[in-house]
Amino acid sequence: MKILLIGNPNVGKSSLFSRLTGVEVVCSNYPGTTVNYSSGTVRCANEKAEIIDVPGTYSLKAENPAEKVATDMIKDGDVIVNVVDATNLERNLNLTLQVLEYGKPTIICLNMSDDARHLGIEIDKQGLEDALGVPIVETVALTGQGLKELIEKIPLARSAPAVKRSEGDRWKEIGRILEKTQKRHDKQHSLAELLEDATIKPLTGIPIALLTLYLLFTIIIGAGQMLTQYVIDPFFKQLYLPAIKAAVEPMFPAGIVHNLLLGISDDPVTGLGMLTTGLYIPLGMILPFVILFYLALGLLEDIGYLPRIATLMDNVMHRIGLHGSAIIPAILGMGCKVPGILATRILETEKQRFISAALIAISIPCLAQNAVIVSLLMRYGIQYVAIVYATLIIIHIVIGLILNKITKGDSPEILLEIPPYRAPSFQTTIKKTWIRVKYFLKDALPYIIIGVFIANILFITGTTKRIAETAGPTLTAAFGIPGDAVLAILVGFVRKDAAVGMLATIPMTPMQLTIACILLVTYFPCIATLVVLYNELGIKNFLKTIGLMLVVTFVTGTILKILLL
Amino acid sequence: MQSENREEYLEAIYGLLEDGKEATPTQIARKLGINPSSVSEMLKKLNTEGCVIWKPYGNVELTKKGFKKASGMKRKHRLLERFLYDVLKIEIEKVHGQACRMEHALSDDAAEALSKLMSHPDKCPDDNKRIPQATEPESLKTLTDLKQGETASIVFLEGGDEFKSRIRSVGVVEGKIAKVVAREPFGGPLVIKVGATQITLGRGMASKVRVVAR
Repeated sequence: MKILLIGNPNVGKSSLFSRLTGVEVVCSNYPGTTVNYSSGTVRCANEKAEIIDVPGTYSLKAENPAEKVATDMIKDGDVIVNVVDATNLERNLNLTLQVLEYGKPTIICLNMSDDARHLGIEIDKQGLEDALGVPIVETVALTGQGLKELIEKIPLARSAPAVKRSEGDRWKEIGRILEKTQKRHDKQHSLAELLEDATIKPLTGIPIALLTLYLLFTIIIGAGQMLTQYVIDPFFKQLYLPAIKAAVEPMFPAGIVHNLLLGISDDPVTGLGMLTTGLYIPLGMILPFVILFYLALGLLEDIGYLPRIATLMDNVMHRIGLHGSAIIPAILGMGCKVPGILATRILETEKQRFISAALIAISIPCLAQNAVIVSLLMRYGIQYVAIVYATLIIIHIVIGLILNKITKGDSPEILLEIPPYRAPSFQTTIKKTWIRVKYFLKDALPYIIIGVFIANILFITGTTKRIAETAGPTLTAAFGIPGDAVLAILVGFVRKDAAVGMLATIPMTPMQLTIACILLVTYFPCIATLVVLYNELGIKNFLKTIGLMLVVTFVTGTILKILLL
Repeated sequence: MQSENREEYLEAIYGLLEDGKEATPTQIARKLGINPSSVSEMLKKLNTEGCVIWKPYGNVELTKKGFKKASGMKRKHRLLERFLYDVLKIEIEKVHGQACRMEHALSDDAAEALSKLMSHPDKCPDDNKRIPQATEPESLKTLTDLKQGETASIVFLEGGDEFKSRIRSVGVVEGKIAKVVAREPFGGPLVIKVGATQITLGRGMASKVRVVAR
């Protein structure tokens, strides 16, 4: 049996899915979190059933990729669970009536019923059941309330008498149904509503947004450095290093194996040992930032703040051929470019998806890159970090302006639903952060260890030196950075974080390091990003992006050399 | 006679939209005091003439052309009511019926002269409703003309069918009341609230939503 969860964007399908199946998916308080479907299993009437979280859609007309996925999937579903936001029945029922037209056995899940009650919305469940002709279960997906009843009632799903309606008739029917089944009691302005107003009106909203972003970055960078300095460093240097040395050195007192495992020197960053540098870079230098960034992002997502930033940023984004919603993929890209590029699917046209994905690939540093920038440059002073970010922002805008000019196609305007603020649930935020951190660890650890291993071999065999001698002079001539940086750039192709260690081993002036950091962001994203970029853009736009990357890197490097060195 | 009848239909549809009601054949029949079964004939005609969009069993929607005719007719009607009541001192109960019969014979020029004579009144005397401008729907306000905090009812959506159905699917529907929550500066989008939903929409889209301020 195949069960489909279908509903408007941001009605809690993913929360429901994750609760029902135990499969970990990321849920947020803004439309379009799920652009790809996830599937899991659930036991229903003593039978294993497949359950699918379909991307949210307002209608079944297949106008954007998410809607198309939904319309394609609905045809092979056996049972449809239509998830409906009880606080916004009118708009949600527009989709419900379209779903019922398919004549599949359907059950309605009246989600966020607690919020509806708080807002003074009273829904006559029995009346609604009678009007729609299918069973209804009230749920609160965030807390799990009503989910047991939902599972029990899935076998009772039935198809409603099929009525095909025109769009106008649907709205008319909805009006009729709501008149009979929904009562609204006016409530006083709540604190949440005051905040909603303050954060979206330009006069107060823009300062609040700037302050929020500033505070978030300061806290993430500050707390991240503190974690490294006071927690991870002492642990690593005083407990872990002596312990691992005591374990390895009796077997391999010196020689190749010793150097591969423990490194050429004792320094955890530059030693290039698989068990020292290979663990210190991901866990010591990057992990603190990963945890803090995703915690902050998770909170912003669950509260529902991102669509407001999208609204405030819209006019800026519009100038580079995008609209405000494109800020969401960009913010996700600051964590990891892969989900960032996938999220460009929330944009309507090919032109917008291309510009947005290309910009994420070229000028948005991912967490690993951010960690490199902060941890390597902060020790020389904040001005170097500022140069890197200012340069990246300029590149972002310039490429955006150019791409907007030369790319054919439409740049439609923003049309985005702004969700009400919801208090974040501690449990979901922690869980979401954990899913993302786990994904990072699973993905990054093996690559970094392998990267460190290769770098070490190349170093021991003297290949590093030879590469630096052949390709180095070009690099130095063009961008003014030492030839040794070639290797870091090569390794960065696999994983950006693995390149940190290599960059750190090379003696450079702070300015040279600044340039190297910028080039490490722009020249090529990691392999995983390239694959996603290719899948999302197709060969033509993929090659355009790659070409653009090379041009941008070369031009930026040359200009920076002239300006800074 | 035929064209008078047609004008009455358009006026009825306009009246329904103005009140925030759905323009269904049944509602139109009720408004005109005729049998619902006889409505569809005329709706079909208006549909072929491009004044309304109507498919049998569906809602009736005014096209730009239809809206223009309908609001023009309503203007004449209400100006006449004003004239009968203010200038000729006819009893209030009688002005509506009188105006109904006179409006079809009134030329556009005469209507403008009448408006000028009474120094351009803006409300009709019997139910205090707004007298449409001669240049509607072009002269109707759009969402972009509203100030932050202002409320208006949505009367008419311009643009292609795809645009209309997209914007309706997020809740921007004719007859609904929209409040402008925020206007972002430098040509940024508008944030509006329709029912329980807050929506951010670009200025271009907002300028296709014609409204009457409350």
